[in-house]
Amino acid sequence: MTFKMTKGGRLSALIFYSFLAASVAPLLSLLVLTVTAAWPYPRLSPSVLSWRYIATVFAPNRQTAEALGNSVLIAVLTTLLTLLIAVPAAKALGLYRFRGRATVKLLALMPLMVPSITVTMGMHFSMIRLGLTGSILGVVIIHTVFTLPYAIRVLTNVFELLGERHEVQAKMLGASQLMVLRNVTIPLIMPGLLSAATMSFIVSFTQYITTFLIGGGRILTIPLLFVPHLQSGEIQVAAVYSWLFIMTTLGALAITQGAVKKFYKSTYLLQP
Amino acid sequence: MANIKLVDVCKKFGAKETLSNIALEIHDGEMLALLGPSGSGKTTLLKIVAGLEQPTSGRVFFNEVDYTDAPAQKRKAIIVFQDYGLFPHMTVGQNVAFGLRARGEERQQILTKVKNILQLVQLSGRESSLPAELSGGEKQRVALARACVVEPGVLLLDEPFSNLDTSLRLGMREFVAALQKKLKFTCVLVTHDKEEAFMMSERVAVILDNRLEQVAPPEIIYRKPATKKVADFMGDANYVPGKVISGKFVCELGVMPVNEPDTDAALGMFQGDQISLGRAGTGFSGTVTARKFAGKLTYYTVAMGPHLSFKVTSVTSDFLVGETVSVAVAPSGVNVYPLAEESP
Repeated sequence: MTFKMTKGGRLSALIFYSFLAASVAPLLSLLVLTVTAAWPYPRLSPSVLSWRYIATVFAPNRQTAEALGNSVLIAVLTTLLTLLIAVPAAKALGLYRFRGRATVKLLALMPLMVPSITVTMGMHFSMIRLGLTGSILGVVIIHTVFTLPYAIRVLTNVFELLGERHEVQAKMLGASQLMVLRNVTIPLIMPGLLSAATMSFIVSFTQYITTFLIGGGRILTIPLLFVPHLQSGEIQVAAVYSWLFIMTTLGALAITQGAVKKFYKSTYLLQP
Repeated sequence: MANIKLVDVCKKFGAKETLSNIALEIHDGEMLALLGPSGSGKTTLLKIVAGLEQPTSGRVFFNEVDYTDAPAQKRKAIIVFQDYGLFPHMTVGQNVAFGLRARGEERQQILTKVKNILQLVQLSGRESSLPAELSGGEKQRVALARACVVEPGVLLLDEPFSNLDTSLRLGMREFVAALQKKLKFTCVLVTHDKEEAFMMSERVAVILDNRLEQVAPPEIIYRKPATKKVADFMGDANYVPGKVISGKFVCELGVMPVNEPDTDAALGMFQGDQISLGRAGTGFSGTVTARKFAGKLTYYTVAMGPHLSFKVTSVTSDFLVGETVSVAVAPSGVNVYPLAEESP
């Protein structure tokens, strides 16, 4: 049975928008939940609405602002540290042929293959001895352990596909290492960089156990603030935090993309 | 402008020997072709000259100064690769200006130089196009412009025309040759195309099996290949065993004067167009066993006795298969090699 062009087009559009709706619908119901005081079973909409959950979250003594600030700060620092390590590592893995290359690639993924608590407990003792626990730096380091696999993976692929030829050509024309990095390497890996940065930010932002263990209860982040609410059943407050979480992440992404676009002004990078 | 000297250059990749004892001198302002089949090591040699590879042993000199350990940036040589290597995220203008920016030239100067060189390569006004919008030939010209605008002493081209259509190739060859004459840089061209090497260069260096077999002007390479390997590479070689006695090569195709020492075991090489065929009757005779008409030329296979058979290239297409023909060779058209020299 063959689909005619228009019919096929309509069918695929239908499937696409169904998936889109299915993805967005939970977020919408989450949004509704933030103002729901009561929503008994057979009803399709809440019976009683209330602003009190939102008020609770943003009440001055709730440390929401502190937690948000910490989360963003840690996520940004984690992203920077991750990229600082991942770019040279990925360049080596992607461009050079050395013995044990496949093994190293696999090892880089290790932190994702075991439960994060095992890795964290393992590092906890050493970090206590180094005095890193209870500090922002300590939390950033432990987050980086879990963001590096994604960043290295993405950037290694980018470097493998890109190859060295453009850098070589630039060097031949007399460019210094810095000029090659700024004008050739970074613009060409930019999509990979954005992808790695995004993943790092999100992974760091969502960290719970690691922040809890290494932060020692002294560093407060958004997940630490609202997971207890989930456990105790106050889902509306958790829903407000969730939306706060989503908005912050989207905001950070928008700022990053905007800044990059402005900085490089290259039509090539904007093409899909 | 620079004179390049390679002394005893060897290159090994692990256990594999890519270049053996290359000794070559390239004159200032010369256009030299490195000719050889794929994998013969010619691209590696080019990269060694450029500074992108280090030789395992041997030295590289530019104008009598040892540059072997100098990195690519410090040398005055620029290499243009097979795929042009244009920066995809920069415009034509930015691409061409790159080398000038690296040298820290002033903005206004850069703009003028870019404008002039684009005019020279017939791409005026295309400064804001992106490489993705250009055709193969246009990308080629941008790559050349980018290399030439920094006035390199040496331009190295790695099979620059192999990605172009035939029609474009001829035009680009003439273009590069004219550019080289005008800007007077030393140019080394790597190619596996004999015609290209002969048409474009003043001298050709033939590299076979990782060794430099012969360096000479094109006509000498073609008419007087130094070894059997070079003769085989040129194609069109017919071999007739014989002897050299008192300065004469004696074989089944006659006696001809040669400048070789006396020997009992010699191999005479005749190229396909050095053998002429005529109506049966005079001189040696043979039988046409195959005939391929190819327009300008006709390729015959002629047998003389059960052991001797050769390929003849002729402008006449009159002879038919099975016909008896007379066979004659131009006396000056023979090259003699020792018989022991059999290629594996």
